[in-house]
Amino acid sequence: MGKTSEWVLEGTNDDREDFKIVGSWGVPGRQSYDMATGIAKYPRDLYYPGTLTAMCLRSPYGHAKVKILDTSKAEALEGVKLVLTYEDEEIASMPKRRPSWFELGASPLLCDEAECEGDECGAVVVAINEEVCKKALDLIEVEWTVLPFILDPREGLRPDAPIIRPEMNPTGNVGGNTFGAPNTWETGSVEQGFKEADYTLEYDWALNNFCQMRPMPPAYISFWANDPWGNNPYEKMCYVTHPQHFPAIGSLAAAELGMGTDEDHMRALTPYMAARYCDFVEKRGAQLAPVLSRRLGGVPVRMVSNRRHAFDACVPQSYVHARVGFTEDGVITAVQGHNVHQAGLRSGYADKTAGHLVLPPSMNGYRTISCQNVYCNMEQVLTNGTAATADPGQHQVDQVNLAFGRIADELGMDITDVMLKNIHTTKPSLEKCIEEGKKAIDWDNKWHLPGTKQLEDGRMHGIAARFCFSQTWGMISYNVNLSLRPDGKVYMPYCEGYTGTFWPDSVRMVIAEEIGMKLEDVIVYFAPHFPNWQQGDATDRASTCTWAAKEAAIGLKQQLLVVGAGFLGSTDPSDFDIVDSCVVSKSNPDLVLPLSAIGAQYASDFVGRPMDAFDATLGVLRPMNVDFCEVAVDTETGEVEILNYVSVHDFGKVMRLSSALGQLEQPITMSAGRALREQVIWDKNTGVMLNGNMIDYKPPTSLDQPPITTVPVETRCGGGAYGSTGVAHAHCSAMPVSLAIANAIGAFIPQEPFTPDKVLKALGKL
Amino acid sequence: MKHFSHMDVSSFAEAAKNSTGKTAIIAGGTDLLGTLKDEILPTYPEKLINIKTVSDGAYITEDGDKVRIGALTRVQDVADSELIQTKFAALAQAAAKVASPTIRSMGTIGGNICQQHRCWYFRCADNRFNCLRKGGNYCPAHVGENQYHSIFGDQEGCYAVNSQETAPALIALGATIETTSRSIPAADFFAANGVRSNVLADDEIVTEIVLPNVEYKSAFSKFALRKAIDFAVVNCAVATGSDGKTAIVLGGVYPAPVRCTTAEAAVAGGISAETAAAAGDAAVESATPLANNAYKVEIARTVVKRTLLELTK
Repeated sequence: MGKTSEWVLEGTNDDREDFKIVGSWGVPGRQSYDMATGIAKYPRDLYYPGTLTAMCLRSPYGHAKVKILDTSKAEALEGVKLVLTYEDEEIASMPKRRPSWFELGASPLLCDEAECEGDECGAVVVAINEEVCKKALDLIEVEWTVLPFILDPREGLRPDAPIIRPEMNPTGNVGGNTFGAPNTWETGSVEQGFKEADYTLEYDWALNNFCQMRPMPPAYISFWANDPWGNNPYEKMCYVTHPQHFPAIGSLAAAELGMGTDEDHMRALTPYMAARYCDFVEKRGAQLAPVLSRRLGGVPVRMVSNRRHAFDACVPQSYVHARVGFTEDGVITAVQGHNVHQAGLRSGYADKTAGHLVLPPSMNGYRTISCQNVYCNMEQVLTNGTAATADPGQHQVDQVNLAFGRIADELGMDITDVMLKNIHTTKPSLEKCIEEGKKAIDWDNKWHLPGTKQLEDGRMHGIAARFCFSQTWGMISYNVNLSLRPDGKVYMPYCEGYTGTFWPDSVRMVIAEEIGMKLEDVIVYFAPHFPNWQQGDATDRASTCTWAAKEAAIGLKQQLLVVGAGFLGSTDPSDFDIVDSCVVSKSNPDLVLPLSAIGAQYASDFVGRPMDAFDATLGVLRPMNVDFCEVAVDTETGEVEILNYVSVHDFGKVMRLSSALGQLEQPITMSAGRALREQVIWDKNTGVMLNGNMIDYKPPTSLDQPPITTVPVETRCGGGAYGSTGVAHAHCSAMPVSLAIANAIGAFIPQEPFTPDKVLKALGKL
Repeated sequence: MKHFSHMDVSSFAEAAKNSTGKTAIIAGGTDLLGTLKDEILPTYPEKLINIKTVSDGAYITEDGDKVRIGALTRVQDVADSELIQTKFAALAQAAAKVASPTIRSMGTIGGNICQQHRCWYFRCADNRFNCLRKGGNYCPAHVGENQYHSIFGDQEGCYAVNSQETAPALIALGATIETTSRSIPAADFFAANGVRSNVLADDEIVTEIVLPNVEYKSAFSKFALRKAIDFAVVNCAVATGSDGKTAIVLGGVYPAPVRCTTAEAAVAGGISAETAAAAGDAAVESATPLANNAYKVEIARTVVKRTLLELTK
């Protein structure tokens, strides 16, 4: 049996029960109205008088170098304002960082080598409009040296593979780990673990290039102007960009321009942005815009790209070979894993996918099981084709789920039993999630051994479950500043733009709840200059931000009670509370003071994070989540239909219910697409991307959305305010579909997406 | 998009008169505008000739022994027409499976049958592949990523598949395509023809689709990876006329729709589970799949069988 342990609730107000605002339904979102009505402004909607358009020359080849470049005809074209090439002295002298904040490799902002088809390379044109830009680009005479390319990381490991980034690794194509973490990890004794095993399974698993394409092409605008916020009366650069990129690109651009820190000289305008998950990868265009604007005397320059360029970064390919030892009752005794992982262009962000910031491959997932006889290693291989972005799914946890599925099938066990036997911390969260999920999907009446249940229409029925944990890291401190202003309202600035995250709404509710304000008297407002951008994912925000907001609110409330008591002629603030934005005497309810009557400003700061930050010990597991999936497989066509999806999440404590449930439903869209259709495909002969559009890439339409039942669980065991945690990427995974297909047809398909060809092959029909 | 001029016309004849190799016809524009935005071709039209301004181009009418559908009739109107649903169910079902409600409400039936092939090499943005259809000397799909391509070999060296959703139904139902200069049986209309997917000349425009005014028993099936805004991996139309003969036409398997005569022979004596399965087998017995698309053979086999069985319900 796997170990279990009770989690002891901790922290201020974890056990609070008297919620008036937190957890309620129907609280309008900070961004909802703008987005729903269309008044939200996206970068493509912005126009400043005199704006010029910039476009880059792009490579038609999978890997190529500029041999000869002649821009004279382009420069002579009417309407062209500027043509810069990689030979421009200023550009050549700038710091060499791109395309990712976290990248290891270095290249100039504009260079002569294109690492993939469509890569910005060689020259950039600024003109009066897009059409003139295009004409000018067509007039640039360029001769390319076509270089060998690698699309599949396994090919990059072959002895005869071309070395594509000799400046990073002159002897091979293996890149490094961005954070310097080891690529090999071992705990316990794997050898001993396999000796203790009754059975051993060995299998492969592969992830394809999955693209979190943006629904809209990006646009980056730079101009020089007086600070629109009036903080400093001298000229600054204003920079419209993706809000997730500003802290990274802003500082890079500032450094490139010799401006020192971005806080001194740069301001990011971060309007609404249709974004993709964990979109930290940007290309040269984002950083070129401020350079071009400055060169042209500060006029606004809009760097544009097209629909296809929105497919410029992918979740990397990953090929896993695993060997798992286990006992006859389903307990894992040893794990050995080897992972060939795509680092993409210049390494980039790929290692976050597998190691999640500081951990080596796979280990983060296997740390959830009681068995600690684990050895994993990973080779991160540089490729062409795509920049690698973070995986919204939980790659490392899915390796564990895969092991559970294979063991369950091998032993004829219920996969949820295998989970409970192996995951080391099951109470209270995992057990509760499994219990609620089983009830919602009617597991006890539907689960069956693999390949044994046929539906009335002839299709095979499959059902499966997959667990994940919520990462209540709270890794980085959050800075909350609250102020009661003379109008009697409490204000909180935040700098992060509108990326679809919901934490400002949750934070607002926590502040109102904790102080005793009416919700409408708490104003959480966008202030791009306020330094509280939260690095991390939405789980971090839900834990760290709500925690910090709660602590700041407690501080402000204490001040207001002292002041309010004084206004009401008392020296005992403990006799007072704040209810509906009024200071009220507990002993004499007739003594009431609206906060607006105080007529002065009081402020409270909190900089910090939950007391239980990310913990490397085995006891880190707390809030869990489990997805249940039911499929039908047409064995004649290979078509898979997701019949039902039950998403159970332990939120600890739900803050804003509509956000919470939406955050369960949206990832299932992503998961369904990833499981059944989505995969970026390149022509292997030329390195050209073939399906970089919304038709051929086939993201799900609304009709493809499977039925989803969301089940919120509240065990109060998270690290955020009131024991809350977030959701983040926990449910983005094709694994529930994968395991359900295996349950339907009795064969595991080792590579996403599970398209008809792969299903038919697994059925032995091809 | 690049610059082009725009011309409204009042008749198909005027449109044809002004059509050259340097112009393009626009009606609903749902296919054309995407190709222009992506700049998929080596050339770009200097002028778009707008035929939406032709006032009498959209209709569905019975005319004696014929039913006429104007080329400018919206795809959604074809799907919704009671006349089409009653007499030509396969066509109504096919029209209802085109793209999405928005696109069906903009796109025309004439545009649907004239849309260019859906091959990711042919349609690659920025004209990355100078394939045979564009004047090049090879079909990159033949040696490349061909999972969605032809399973019945090439047509003029091209392995792209026809993507006109309504084409198999029109052929199965014995339709004729009327143009500004001739009448073309639907069975002869679709073909890989340079960048075109049909046999039209530069100065020739579809004006009308004519169906025999006979009540067919017909059905259409589409297998695609998405439920909307997706092109068929395989589609199939079957139609049994008053003579009792059943026509079977596959789409998405060859540069033009494929009439499955051997499959038709299998059900000549009637449609049953056994004969439908035999027809499915017969429909793909001459298939020659490429490296990555053998799965389409299995799907085509099944789609033919299931579509035939729809006629027995």
